[in-house]
Amino acid sequence: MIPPKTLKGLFLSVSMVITAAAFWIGDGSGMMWDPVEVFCAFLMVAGALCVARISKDSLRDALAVSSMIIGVYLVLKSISGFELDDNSMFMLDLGLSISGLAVIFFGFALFAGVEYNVLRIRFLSSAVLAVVLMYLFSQFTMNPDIVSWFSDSYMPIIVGIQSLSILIVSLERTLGAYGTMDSIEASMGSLSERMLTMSDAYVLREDAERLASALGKDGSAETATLRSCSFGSRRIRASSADGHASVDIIPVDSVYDDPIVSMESVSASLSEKEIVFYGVDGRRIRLLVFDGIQEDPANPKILGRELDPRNLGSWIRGKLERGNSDVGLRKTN
Amino acid sequence: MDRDSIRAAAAKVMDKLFASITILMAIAMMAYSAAEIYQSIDVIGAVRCAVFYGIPFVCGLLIILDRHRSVFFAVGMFAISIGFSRFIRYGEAVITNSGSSPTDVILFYGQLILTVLALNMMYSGYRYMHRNSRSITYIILSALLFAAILLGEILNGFRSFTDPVLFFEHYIKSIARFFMYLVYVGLVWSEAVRKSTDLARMEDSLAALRIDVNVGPDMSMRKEAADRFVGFVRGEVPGDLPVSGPVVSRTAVRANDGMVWVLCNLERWSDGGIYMTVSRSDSGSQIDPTVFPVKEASFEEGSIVVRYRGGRTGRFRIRERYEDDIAVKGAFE
Repeated sequence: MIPPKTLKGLFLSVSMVITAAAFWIGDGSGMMWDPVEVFCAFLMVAGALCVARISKDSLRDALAVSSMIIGVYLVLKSISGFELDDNSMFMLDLGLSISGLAVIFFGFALFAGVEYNVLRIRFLSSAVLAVVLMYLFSQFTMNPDIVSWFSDSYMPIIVGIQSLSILIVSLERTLGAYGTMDSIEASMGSLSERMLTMSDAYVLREDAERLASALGKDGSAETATLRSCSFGSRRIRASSADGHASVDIIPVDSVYDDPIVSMESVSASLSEKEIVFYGVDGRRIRLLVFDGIQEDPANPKILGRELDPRNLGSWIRGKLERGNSDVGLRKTN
Repeated sequence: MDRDSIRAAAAKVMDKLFASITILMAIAMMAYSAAEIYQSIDVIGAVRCAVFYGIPFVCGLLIILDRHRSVFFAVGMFAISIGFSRFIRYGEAVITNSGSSPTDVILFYGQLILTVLALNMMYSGYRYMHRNSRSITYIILSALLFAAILLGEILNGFRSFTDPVLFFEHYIKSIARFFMYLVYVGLVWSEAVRKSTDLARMEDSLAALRIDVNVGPDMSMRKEAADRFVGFVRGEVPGDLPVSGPVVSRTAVRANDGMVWVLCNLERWSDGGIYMTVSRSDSGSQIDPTVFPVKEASFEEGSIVVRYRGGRTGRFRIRERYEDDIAVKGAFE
């Protein structure tokens, strides 16, 4: 079984071969055996083989090498095609050669490990793809004959396939740094994990009683779910051993099992509405106490069922995989 | 009745108002849907009418059935249903457009852009449902623009029609759309939606961190709060809030961190220490907040200077009004 990442790299290399073959054989200029044309085709095929090999190890390097090769290809093809008599073609070729230089530079920087924003690659390849699709579609609506449409749209299709392969590679999440906002949001998320912003954390009354009693009994430990409508659930553990009582809050789905918050607890005070764990030097954890799981007023509740749209994807997948699932839909009173 | 109680009552009224706006939105959507079906059923047939315009009706019904009156759900349903309706209509027009005259080509690209915008609207709806709003300024501006255009159209029709029944028959769709856009602006402007953009969420997390560690550059409080603060630390003013665990007396004074209202919670513990924590409100959970061990507090040149154990000091400016920045202070003196 080939890993999905390698498959993406293979698609990139295949699309390079298709591009090389298409522009070598089919550009209709009758210059198939021109040394520059032959070299360009050879360069792309050799580059495609390199990309296929490298993609087994690193998709980022595969993208870098393919960018450099495609850049050189663009520069060579456009320079060899310079037509000084035709202004518009000259401008087009000049633009393509400058783009080629930029793509070489990008590939080199990527290979050298320079931080980059993958969103721009996605945006650029999507834009090229969208223009190609619009062109193909408008050509088809104006000329529905499939054979003549294909012969007119032959080159844009190749460009589209090449852009699609770059887009697919750039959509790989592990490829590198993504948008600034995403990065800030991730940093904020990890800060929020400290739960300073969490003001609706609560435990069920029976859990609160268990946790409070665990602190007063040497050698006992109790774990319960700490719930929050806004921030999801975490685990809370109260334990007492060798005269030292402690309260820990542990993430549910983190790769680490280390507590986010750990506090040596002196005592617990349980009242009608809240439980407060007091530590030393003024430290405390104050949690709300409820008899049942609380509804989230920001979620819709339709016909007695609370729907969390954020879990809708999981719910649909669960339905498809298991036939039924209660993820995302919660029956409440 | 003090000002804070009136403010709390006003906040409840605002909540109810936004809950009723979601119903108004649902009614406007259903009216728009019914009006479109009424006007188009003879032209495009019942099935296409149901596909094109039925979704906003169903989504409006779901908003009415939502017992939580979720603003996110209402705004999301609006954007998804209207976006879907437009996507189907314009998408169909794009696919069936087969003319090759310049007018057809312009029409084709116009409809294509509208189809993409409809997709964009559906994506916005998806983001709203996930409680992650997109930048709302442009949404509000464009909705207001549409509302203004519709108002102009309605007023124009009002002048040209003398029979009110005929006027309503012709303009019911525009009136429903006008109200729909107005209500949409109201909902998008709601605090819940405004506070769920990427930037607002980051600001919220950063503000929570800043408030917790108390590094606000302009911490201030009013004179009576300052008197209570200093009096409590000196032992001259008793606590006025319920206590539990090692806490023997407790009070809270309201302060301002820049323009944000915060609460300084002061506690005297049985070990003799005085501890201060800073939070957004006096209720809700509080998970291991930063604790400031207060040693002494005194008045100095229009400020309170707080000395903490460990040698650090803090300063609260004393305000005459809640909002007495320099300009306001100058104007009122």
